[in-house]
Amino acid sequence: MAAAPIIELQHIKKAYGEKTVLNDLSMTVYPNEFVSIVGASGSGKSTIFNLVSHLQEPSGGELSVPERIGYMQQKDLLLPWKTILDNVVLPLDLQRKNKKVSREEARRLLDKIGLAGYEDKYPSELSGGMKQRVNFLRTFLASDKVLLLDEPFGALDSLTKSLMQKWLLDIKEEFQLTILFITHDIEEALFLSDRIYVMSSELKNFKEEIVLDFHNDEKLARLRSEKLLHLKEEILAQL
Amino acid sequence: MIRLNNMARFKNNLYPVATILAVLIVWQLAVTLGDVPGYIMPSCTDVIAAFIKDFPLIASHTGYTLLESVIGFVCAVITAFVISLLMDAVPFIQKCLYPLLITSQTIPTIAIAPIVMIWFGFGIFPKVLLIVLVCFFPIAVSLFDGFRKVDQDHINLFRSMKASKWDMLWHLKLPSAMVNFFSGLKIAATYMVMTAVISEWQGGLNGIGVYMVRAKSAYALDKMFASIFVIVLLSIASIYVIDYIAKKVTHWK
Repeated sequence: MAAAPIIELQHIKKAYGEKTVLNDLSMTVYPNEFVSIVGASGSGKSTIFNLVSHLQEPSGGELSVPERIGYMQQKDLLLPWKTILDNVVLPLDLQRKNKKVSREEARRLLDKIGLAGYEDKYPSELSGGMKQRVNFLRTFLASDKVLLLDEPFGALDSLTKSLMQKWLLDIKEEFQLTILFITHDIEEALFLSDRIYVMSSELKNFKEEIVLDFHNDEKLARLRSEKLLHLKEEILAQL
Repeated sequence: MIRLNNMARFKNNLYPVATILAVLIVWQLAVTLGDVPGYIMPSCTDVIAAFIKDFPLIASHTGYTLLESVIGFVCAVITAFVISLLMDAVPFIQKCLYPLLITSQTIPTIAIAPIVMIWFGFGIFPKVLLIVLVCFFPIAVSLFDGFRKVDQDHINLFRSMKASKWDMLWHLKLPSAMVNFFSGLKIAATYMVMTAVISEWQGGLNGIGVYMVRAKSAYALDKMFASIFVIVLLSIASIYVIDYIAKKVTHWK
């Protein structure tokens, strides 16, 4: 790709005391890309996110990330005392943006993600899939179109999950997002991504980088392709 | 569905109400049939009669007790907020104060009440002070625990959105501590009326406790029972008020 990377990690090390979690790890994400990190739980995937979002500092190496970045987790983390609208605009309120303008914007976006009419409801009144969409919207408003999604659909049932995956691809196109995605669901990664980093707990680094160069314009077709199955086997063998 | 719930609730309430009625009837019969003198045990109807006869006096004393209680309670809430916020913000203060707060609760009110009277006289101040001392603790501890219990994932979320400490307090910590805060408030409310009455026993010119002491000196047990009735009502009413506010504030629960 010709464009400059939007996220760049070079020779990153991270250790908690004696325990090394990440060792000499490098990765790049380019604008508009959908990049996934797959790996077993406890392999340090979430640590990468904590570093990229500045929640933690690396023990060594160089890190270049955008100023504002959205970080979404498996738990929806909506505030139960705030309405859906107030939850969504929270990042804008924290930036001291004009309340009226940001609420108008949020209403427009809620309509776009199919939640018109839910503005004044409370999170407890929404289903799991709806809550994750609200969470996504809040993450989006907190970011400059660069989103870190940490197993965002991990807690959803499989039907809702596949609907949300298609929804995510549509939204990504519509808003020109750059997404860095963590999952342990290999099929999910193969369906959604442009590139996949396979994380290894022994190396404390990536074992492989897979560039997905088939059905990139119509990712739904991937689900019917034989190549997906081959790649899935290949990745499973690595883990 | 709602009607059914109401019906079930009504039925459930019937049991304790019937029990109270039975006790009252037994009481009335025992006193009248046993010919017990009024200075040992007044009958139910004696108490009601005393209450009606003395109502203006009881009402004015109760009003005074209520005033003390509300002033003390509000001061306790304010102090509790200040102290628990300080303890949450400055670990040093927490380490100094928190263990002391817990152990200070083993000091019974009734033991320090006479000292406070000696120091500060028979006016309203020592009463308010005692109420503050007693009510402050459950509120401060529940509020502080509420701040502590905030989910680490939520804190990380706010940090990733670059929220300031003040924003984190206002949008996250305060609202999520409200549930804890109100349970502390309810405990404090039961202490509040009790402390007011005990402090009035020590001496003073006004208050339902003062009225009780005077009734006791005159062996007017009917008036004493009437005041106990008022004190119980006061306690129940204050808990109801707090429950009502709690439901409005923590509506998501």
